[in-house]
Amino acid sequence: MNHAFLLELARVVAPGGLITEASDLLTYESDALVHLRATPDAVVLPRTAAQVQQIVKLCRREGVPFVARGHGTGLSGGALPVKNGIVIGLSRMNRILDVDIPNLRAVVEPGVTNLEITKHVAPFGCYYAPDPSSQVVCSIGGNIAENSGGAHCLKYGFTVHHVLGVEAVLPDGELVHLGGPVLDTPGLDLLGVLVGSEGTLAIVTKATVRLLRRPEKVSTLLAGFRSIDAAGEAVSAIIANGIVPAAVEMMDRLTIEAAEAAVHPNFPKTDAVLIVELDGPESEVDELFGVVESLCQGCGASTMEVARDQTQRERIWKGRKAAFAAMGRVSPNYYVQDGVVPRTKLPEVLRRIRELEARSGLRIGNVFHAGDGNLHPLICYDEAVPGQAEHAEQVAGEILTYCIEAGGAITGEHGVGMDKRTYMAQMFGADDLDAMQRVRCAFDPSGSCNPGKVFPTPRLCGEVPGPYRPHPVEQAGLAERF
Amino acid sequence: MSTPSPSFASLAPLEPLIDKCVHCGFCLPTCPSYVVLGQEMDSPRGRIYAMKAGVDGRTTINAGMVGHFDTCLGCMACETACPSGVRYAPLIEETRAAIEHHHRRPIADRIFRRLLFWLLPYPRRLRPLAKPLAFVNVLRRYPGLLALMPLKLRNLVALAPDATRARTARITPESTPATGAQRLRVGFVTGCVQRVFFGDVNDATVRVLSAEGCDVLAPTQQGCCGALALHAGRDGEARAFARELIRAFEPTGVDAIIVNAAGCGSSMKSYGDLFRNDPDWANRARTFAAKVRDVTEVLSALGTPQAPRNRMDLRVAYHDACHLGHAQGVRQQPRDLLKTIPGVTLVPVAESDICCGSAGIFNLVQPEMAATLGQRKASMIAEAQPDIIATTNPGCMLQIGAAFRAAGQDRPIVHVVEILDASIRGVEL
Amino acid sequence: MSVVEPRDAAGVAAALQSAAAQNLAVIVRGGGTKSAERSSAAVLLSTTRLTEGIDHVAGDLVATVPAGATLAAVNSVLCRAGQWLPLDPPRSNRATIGGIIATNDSGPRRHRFGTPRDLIIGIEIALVNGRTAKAGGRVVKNVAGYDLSKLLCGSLGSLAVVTSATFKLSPVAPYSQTLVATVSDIRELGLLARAIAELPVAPTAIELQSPPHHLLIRFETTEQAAARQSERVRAVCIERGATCTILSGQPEADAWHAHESGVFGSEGTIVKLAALPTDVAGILDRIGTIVTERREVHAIIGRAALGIVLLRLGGTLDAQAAIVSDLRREVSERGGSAVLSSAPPQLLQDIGRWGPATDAVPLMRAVKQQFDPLNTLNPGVGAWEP
Repeated sequence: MNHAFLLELARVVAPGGLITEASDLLTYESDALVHLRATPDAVVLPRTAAQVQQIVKLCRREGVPFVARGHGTGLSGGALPVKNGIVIGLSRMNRILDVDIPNLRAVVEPGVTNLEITKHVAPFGCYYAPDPSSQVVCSIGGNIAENSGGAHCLKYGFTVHHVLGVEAVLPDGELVHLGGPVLDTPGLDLLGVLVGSEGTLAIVTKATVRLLRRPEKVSTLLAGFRSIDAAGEAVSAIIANGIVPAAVEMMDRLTIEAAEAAVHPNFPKTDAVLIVELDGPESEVDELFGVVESLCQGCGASTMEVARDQTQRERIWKGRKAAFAAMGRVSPNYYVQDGVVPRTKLPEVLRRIRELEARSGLRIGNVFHAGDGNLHPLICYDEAVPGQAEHAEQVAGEILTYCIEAGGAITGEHGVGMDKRTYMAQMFGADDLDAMQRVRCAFDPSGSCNPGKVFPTPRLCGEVPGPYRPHPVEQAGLAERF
Repeated sequence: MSTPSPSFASLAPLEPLIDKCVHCGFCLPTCPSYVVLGQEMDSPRGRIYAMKAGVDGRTTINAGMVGHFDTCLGCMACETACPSGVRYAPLIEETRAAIEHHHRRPIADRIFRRLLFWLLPYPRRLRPLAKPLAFVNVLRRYPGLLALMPLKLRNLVALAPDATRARTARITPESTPATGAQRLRVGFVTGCVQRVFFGDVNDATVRVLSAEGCDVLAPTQQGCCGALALHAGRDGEARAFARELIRAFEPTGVDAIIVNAAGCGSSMKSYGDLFRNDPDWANRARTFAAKVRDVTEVLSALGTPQAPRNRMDLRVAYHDACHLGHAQGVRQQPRDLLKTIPGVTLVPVAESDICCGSAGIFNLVQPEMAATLGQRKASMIAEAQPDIIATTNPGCMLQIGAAFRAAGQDRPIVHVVEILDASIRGVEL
Repeated sequence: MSVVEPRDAAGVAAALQSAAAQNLAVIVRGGGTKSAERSSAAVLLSTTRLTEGIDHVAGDLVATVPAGATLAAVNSVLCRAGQWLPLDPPRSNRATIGGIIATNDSGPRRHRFGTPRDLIIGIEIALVNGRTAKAGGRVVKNVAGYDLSKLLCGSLGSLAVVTSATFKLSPVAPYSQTLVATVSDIRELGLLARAIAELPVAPTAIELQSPPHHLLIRFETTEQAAARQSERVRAVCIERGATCTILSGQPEADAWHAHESGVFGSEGTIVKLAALPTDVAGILDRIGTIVTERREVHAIIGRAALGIVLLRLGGTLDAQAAIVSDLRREVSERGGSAVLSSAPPQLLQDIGRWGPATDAVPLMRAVKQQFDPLNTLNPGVGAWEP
């Protein structure tokens, strides 16, 4: 990387804000999807939006691609550095700037963790609803990039439903405000398309988020079933009875084992557990919860535990939220996939996955948001065994095709990132991808903002007059100009 | 197969421990150095990644990397947070040892560390400092003068223990019988800094143990447990101290070996690891380690208190010393013990899982970061509005005391056993 | 003006391509319930024939519906399986799905269920280049690719023509009742709404209405839960000096119908104000002053707890312009907006539909340029128009 460029970058951030030491850069070469690695040429850690603007402008001037990164917890390689590019880390922009309880809004910097917002407003009886399992560490900026959901998105929606406005730096370095604390800002809903765009359109420097008041009552049920099918039937019965729980989670035998070993939630030793949670006004919850209990019983629940207090409830959720990372205890390595299947197609897809497990010889654990059909198959492997890592990747890919074939989606929460680009062409046609990429061309005609992610083949946005300059995506080796 | 770079060769056998890390990042928000510095290299995940890179031969130890390992406080909050069960303690200890063996620190650093390790583990050398301490305490009242001193020296002055406490230090009797029915026979580790500068704490410990039915044996020929050395990567020294301590207690045949300093207790409980490569000592070390208990652990395990408590109307902020809470998993017992005293209200402190910045010699070698953490801890405690602060580690007592003084406030800080002792004897603290 | 009525998405795309090739503008029209700009339009593209195939998968609480179907028609099919698309924009018996998406229209139930943008999970569009494209899918959880569905909501048909959309649905509630609280002071509507919003109740709507000053709080749940929650609300209302009536069945339906007609049933300029919930009381106060002084404000409704207020104005254009400018100043200072939902062309020209431009306008133009480089579709509608 151009030394003069690095000097200019160093001048933008305070001393200690630019990382160029090789052994330091190593630690930024992947997010939580560890089998994808790339060393950035530099990492810069700004503290203000103005600094982010200056950095982006410098990058644009030099044709250097950049990748934004929160706390590096992404599971699709969205923060994977780009060759000959830099990483812009937002971990130091971590202040909660304003909390407006009467209007149920808060303004936060992108490096604030998801759970921190809830902790901060908890004394007022409020919380921030989207609750991905990594909420203790994942950043709001990252949540916005991935449109993160979490166990409670069945009732409460995703990040896009809880972010009212952002301040963002565009790839040309300009600062824009999309949406805001007041609803219905006139014009195109650019915020709606920015959320979930996986850091490819802009860098968020501030977010106005919606807070909710804690519901009057929360009732949580942990039901054990002798089979996944029985648990699935219980879910269908609940929906068919017109009940929309706040959350419905399912775990299978292998993941129950792992969670038990990790955090000892005292789950029943069985083939499937269902966690069903209802929340709302006490009158409503009490009545509906009784119905849920009898439906579960009717579907053959072998054990039923109702959380009697907050500690019990937290214990149950701890078991669920620790499930992924806990797999590290039962397997040397694992590959977590993220596919979505229409709920009505779940039994069929789960059957295919069981068959695949038997064929492939790799154990596959399953944790999923049963309420909305979002699966997280955990494919266990040992990278010390030659070829097994690639095999696991193949198996993960095959599961995605089952999801597509069942009319689902290749990613419910983790994003496409680098990991699932090739499957985009299975899920969408060329015209579909072309339409989406028009948005990218509007935001980032020079293709310098997290290039190479999401789309299998970038759409080059038209000729730039003047002497030929290689497109950053070309330089990164990701596309060819014909 | 990749070969480890030479400086990381000693970590290669620990690769299975390194591989347990799945890079999830759950440790980041609880790691004080990541919270303060906000960069990956100063997080447990980043440090483990660097270790892995070293073992894979992708990198070698360099000054920058050493800096990132030096910012690790060894507080073990990451172990508590990790869902995959990564044992970070052996990894960081081995890495620190590797650094001491393969890396040459700048001369000033080396001299300072040499000095610390010449002094701190030797109570006989610490004792004569009691007199100059009085002078140092006075010096603290003149911030103008202090500002003229170099940072490390200024820091030492700020952290120095209270001279009056030091002057009243007595030697613990070799044998103290149980009061009333004997429930347990225990050995007592008198410590180094604790013995000299917090003699009151040792006295209170013995009294409370005795009152609760313990015969307390405190061999006079005991020295340092080696915790400070171990946590600073001086593994050879640590093992030497450990052997001496094990030898001092083996003849006593006690049921449990009691320690009232969290840092020491955690180190002693891991003696098995320390001697894993030494076939002669491995067993003896493990046997010793299995008997080690923090004083709050053993008192809590004895069950119903034998000695009646007198009422003390106090708002107590209990500070979890990292080496007790995270490293040993002992959190509830000290709280339960305080609750046996009628009139005591435990006020919860926010961010209780984040280190105060003491961390062994951390606050001596990384004064700026330690000060940031100390300030943070002091303000969290102040918010809870306690009458008194109780903890289980002398380092924490010094660090938090200094932080409050720096904020222009003064709060009484005592060891948990001192409150118990006052309640049992019916005296004022 | 020529009229085309394509039967399917391909037909729409072909019509668009043809118009673009001839440099003609295209006005898209569904049920004609929202006014569209009539510039030098040459082609009227009607979506009323795009009514094929409502695909309802009740087990998934999801349905794919054609853009030309009316909301009422769609819901009458869905409710056969006990589910519905929980939107209640005005004139739902005539408004088409496409139009509702294009305007991101909603009604009182926005309080609980949100707008089309909050419920949409997939979309099919026809573009001016003659192609059709899909985004999103048929599952609620889906982050594959960009969320074009959301971009299309509220885009006023200026980027592409929506030909079908997939929504997440809600079960039809077993029972409904509405508590009508009457207050004497218009400002109190805002304050009472805030007090009710802080209670642990979950109404589907908290609507203000004036004149006379009413707050309508609707519960759609089991009978028992509705009764108990109404009781809590009633207690607060009485404490604050409001009088209450509880309606259900036909009287309830009539009340809501009258509520909507108040603003949407008669001629007049409709202004939509958006503000912070805590500013609603102050805005109502201001409107109250205007009403006392001028009498051109004929009806007011709004989602009181969300900060959305709708007014119907009458009187001379100058008077209307003055009122809107006044309110615009008031709300803009607090980050809000005052938009002319429906107004005579002269008024639109004089004071502009949208109010002050934001710093995102150049970006909006860039997006428009990417989708519709020749400005074929509904030219002049957008807030990004110069």
